[in-house]
Amino acid sequence: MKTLKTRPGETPAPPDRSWSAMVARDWRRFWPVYLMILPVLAYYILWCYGPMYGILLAFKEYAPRKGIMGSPWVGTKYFIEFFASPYAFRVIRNTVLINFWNLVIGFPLPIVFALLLNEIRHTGYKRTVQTITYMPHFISTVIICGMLIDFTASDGVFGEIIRILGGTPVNLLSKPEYFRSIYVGSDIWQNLGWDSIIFLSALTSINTELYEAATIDGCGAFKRAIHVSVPGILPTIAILLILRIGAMMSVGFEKIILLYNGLTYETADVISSYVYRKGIVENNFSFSTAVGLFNSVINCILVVAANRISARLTETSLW
Amino acid sequence: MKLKNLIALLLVLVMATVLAVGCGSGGGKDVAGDKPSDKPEDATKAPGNEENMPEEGPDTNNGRPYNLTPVKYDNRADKYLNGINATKLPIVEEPITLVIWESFNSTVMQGLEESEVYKELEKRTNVKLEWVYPPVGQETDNFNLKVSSLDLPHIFVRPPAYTGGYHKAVEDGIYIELTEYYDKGLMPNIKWIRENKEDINRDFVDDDGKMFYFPMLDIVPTDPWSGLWVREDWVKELGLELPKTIGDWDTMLRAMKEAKGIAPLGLNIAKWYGVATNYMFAGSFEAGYDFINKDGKVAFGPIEPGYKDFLTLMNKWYKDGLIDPDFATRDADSYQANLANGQYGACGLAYGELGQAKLSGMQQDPDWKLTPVLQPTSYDGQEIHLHQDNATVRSARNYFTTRLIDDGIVEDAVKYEDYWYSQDGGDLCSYGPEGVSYEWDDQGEVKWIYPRLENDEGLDFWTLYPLFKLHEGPYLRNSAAYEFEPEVFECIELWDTQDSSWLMPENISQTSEEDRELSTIMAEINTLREEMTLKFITGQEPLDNFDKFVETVKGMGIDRAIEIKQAALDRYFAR
Amino acid sequence: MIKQTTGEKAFSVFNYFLLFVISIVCLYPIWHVAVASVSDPLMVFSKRGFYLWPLGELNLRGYKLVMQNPNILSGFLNTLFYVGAGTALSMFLTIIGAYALSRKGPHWNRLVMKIIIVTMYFQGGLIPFYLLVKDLNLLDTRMSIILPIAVNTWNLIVMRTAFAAVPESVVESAKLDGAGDWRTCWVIMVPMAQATVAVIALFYAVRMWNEWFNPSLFISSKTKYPLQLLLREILIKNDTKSMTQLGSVGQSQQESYRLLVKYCTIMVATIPILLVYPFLQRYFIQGIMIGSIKG
Repeated sequence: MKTLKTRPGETPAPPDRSWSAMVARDWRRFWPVYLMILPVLAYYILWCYGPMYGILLAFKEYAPRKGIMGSPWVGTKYFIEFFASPYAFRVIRNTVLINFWNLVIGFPLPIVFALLLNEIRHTGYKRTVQTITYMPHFISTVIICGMLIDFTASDGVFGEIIRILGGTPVNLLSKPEYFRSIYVGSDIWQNLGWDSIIFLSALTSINTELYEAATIDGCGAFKRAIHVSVPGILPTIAILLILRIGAMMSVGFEKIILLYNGLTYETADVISSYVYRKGIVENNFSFSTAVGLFNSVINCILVVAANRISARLTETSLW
Repeated sequence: MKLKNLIALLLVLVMATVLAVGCGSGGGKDVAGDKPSDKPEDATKAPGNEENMPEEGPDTNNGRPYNLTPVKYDNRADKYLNGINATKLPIVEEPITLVIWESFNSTVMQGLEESEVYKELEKRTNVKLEWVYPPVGQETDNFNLKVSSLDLPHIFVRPPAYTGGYHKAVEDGIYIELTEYYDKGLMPNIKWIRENKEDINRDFVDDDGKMFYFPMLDIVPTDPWSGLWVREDWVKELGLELPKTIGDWDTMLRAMKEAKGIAPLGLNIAKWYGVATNYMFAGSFEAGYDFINKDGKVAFGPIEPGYKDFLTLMNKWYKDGLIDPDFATRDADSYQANLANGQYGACGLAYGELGQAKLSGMQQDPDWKLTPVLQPTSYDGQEIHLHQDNATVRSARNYFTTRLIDDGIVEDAVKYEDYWYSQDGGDLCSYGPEGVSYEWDDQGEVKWIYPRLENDEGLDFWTLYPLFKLHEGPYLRNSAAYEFEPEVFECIELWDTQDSSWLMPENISQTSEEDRELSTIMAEINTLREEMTLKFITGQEPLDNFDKFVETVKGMGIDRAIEIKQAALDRYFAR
Repeated sequence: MIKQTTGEKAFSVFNYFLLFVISIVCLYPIWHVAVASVSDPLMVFSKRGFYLWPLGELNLRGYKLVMQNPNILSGFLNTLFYVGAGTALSMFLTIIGAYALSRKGPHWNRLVMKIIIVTMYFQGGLIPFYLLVKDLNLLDTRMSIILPIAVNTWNLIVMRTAFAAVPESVVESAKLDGAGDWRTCWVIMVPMAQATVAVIALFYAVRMWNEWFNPSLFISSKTKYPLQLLLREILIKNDTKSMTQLGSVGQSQQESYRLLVKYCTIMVATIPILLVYPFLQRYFIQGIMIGSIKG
């Protein structure tokens, strides 16, 4: 801060508001912070913005000899091709629905799990449960899907259970109405423990005095969770929720491909699996870039909206 | 305090510099493709004209017999294709190096340079080879990147398809056209084959008679390699004969279900060795899962009336519990497990897959026996025209790249590749060096003598063979030169008795615009086909709606697709 | 400890039980893989469905086959390097970045945040990325694995959130004590948010451990392959879908080990990284805030 020499009795002159002066002031005050952000910014500029011109491939017909910049423009040809497909609406709808259910059910559950785990007093038990529950996350998708296919077959484990309960077993993965439940359910199974880690770590930063105060005020475990734990990790929840909403158009194709079949295309075929199948027939970078760009734009819009809403409701936002 | 700030500042600047520039080359070696190849002094010495060829006879040409007419060995049947030996060895006086892009994955060797075949090839031809291997499973990505970054090897071995076809690849300056080298006479072995075998010639060239690739030639027929199988021990137990007609199949399956209490037929639709490749039962109704060639007229299998009959039959069998209820979701592992466990009485399978299931099956049931059967007939006197089969010229191809021109060694590379199509070259690749990997026994059969086959515990022929012989590749390949189970030959002989002329030829080609149009149309139709086939069979969609299905497919542009394919087929036969 | 009401006690019992059930369900996948990896190969091949105990006699033949690969040791050492160096670099950058972005003073913070977040949604794709690595002469180098993924935006955002949650009072008291930003970051911020820092370190380490895609693009010498890429090759070689070449493979005695090797490969690929988490759990200590406020 510039120290202004004022003579007694004089009011100090107003600070200089020009842009360059503000920048200069900012620099003087925060230059260590500037320096600390520099390497990170350099990383992004080099590795993320450097290749960014590849997005243009969505509007061009790629010719390797000419490179991306030299390839001829085709405008919105590939976008039109995508939307003209009779399946376009279906795959978009499926993508959104699967992610929607994954969000509505799969987002709160790790939080609840973290809260439950937080109530365990016995540290040994707590740590063991934590370690075990995060293991399925590491088992590769191929194995999990192999297990799922086995379990859901009419002579699989679930079939047996249904038979014991008196029903007739049926191949669950051949029924389009069950696909989303199986997909979301197995996602939760695989990721519950792993997703809860971040919430558990956030819970540790809550001041224990607050818990004590709440207990003295007569709060039971449930009330403590609602009034102390959740508000305490609210910034984390909000940020993660915003980021999750910003992934609404992205469903990984590997698991879908492993679990779906002709009978369940109606509910299982998503944008990424459709593009993948098309890519087998015809290896076309431009098409997949175009569809990817479409996904990105939608995701971006969603993230901006979610961010605004969150800023208003919780005072936490990404930017 | 200030000092600390300074240190921090320096540290941050260093980090930023490091990041921005990258840590230099990190001491890594150059990508193999960037190495300059040895000087091609021989480019001008190409002996293209036949006047310079040495006399025919044994022991000329560097110790290898030189013959311009095919060598007929006593131990080979007449139906085998024999080539000539028209290559003058060594191919180059000064060694040259070719960089090869090839997919490779083995637990017993580090690289293909360890193979006896390549060692011997180098000795004979004086051409050194260097390999660039794409990571296993990432071949397509790796290929696309290499092409996009113009980081080309000299030869692409069995690459994934180039977007837009190989014509476009030549336009784009990636592949080179080989016709001019053929016309110059640099490929005498191939020339002899092409001039004397018209049907093979068709598969070597495109519609205009131009050559773009070196394909694999199976001189010994070992296809078809997949078909229908039944549990012979069960059939015998039930007092039946091996099924020949659809009616027989019906009886047999019902009897199996009665007796064993399981759904006996392992059906697979789109995945593998099933309706898609085998024409499993669909062929009996003169329809198929994909395009078929009905005596020169292209038809799309799923909209043929026969397809409805096929679906009706499958639907009946499914309802009656004769087909595995989980067939739609079955993956490869549990399919084979079921086979071994006695959960299936009949299925479609490739003869290569037999070994696993057989071992496991016999462990549980010593009478376990799976026997191949023919495609059944659906009416008396029917002649089957559709079942899995392959042509002599296969779709495994080598492509030459423009880098050969840049490095000035095209002609030598062409001559080198041509050597593989000579009788000697083909033999070397099929069997390995004589005396090292094999020798002829008294009956004129190949006997494998490679030392590690005897000595190494737990390693058998199938793991070790890359060390002393080649597998797929552009040469006169004896595809029977492996250690096969006896069932394999049974299969080949049996299945070959049925005609397969209605299959679409593998080597037809379309222009790049046609290609794009076709793939756009077919991408949608294929999705519909997969869905509806399964739905009709499981009854989720009533069979009365079949006509609606046909209408929808027509609405998606199948007629245009058939047009394109027909034009391609006509051009093919006109080659 | 404050006495619990009966209701609370019941809930507590229920809680323990529920978590037990969840643990068992989550344990099953890895248990299944572990059990299958030591079972008899032919029985693994033919047995479908649910099983809890090793089939046939216990044996380690599958593991022997996996370890036979000549590059396994170098793969493992390479991965250790990638995980170690990669995580160190990532943590360094993420921490200073998160600190800088969590400061409310500088005017441009929101702008920089936006610049960074945009990259999460818009990427150039494979070809420009590859060309960039090529132009920087990083092809077939170990740096090409570490540098391009040094900073993960998601992790950066989470860390920033944690740093922003540290009360201003703590930071100010540090500044009053004469600490500059650098010192505040490493000596005050990091310990205050140690649980999050530990978690982000875990995320980076796991990601680097599992990384095979970028190496598959850039690395051509097998001696620089990380473990996952090697194991993936083994996995694919033993995958049924790849056994379709002309139908003439699948006859080997070794083929009967195919499924077994698949399971053993998963075990080798997963167990080491699983063992990291328990070590990090000691950072999950409640109430570290208290000391600094009072002190």
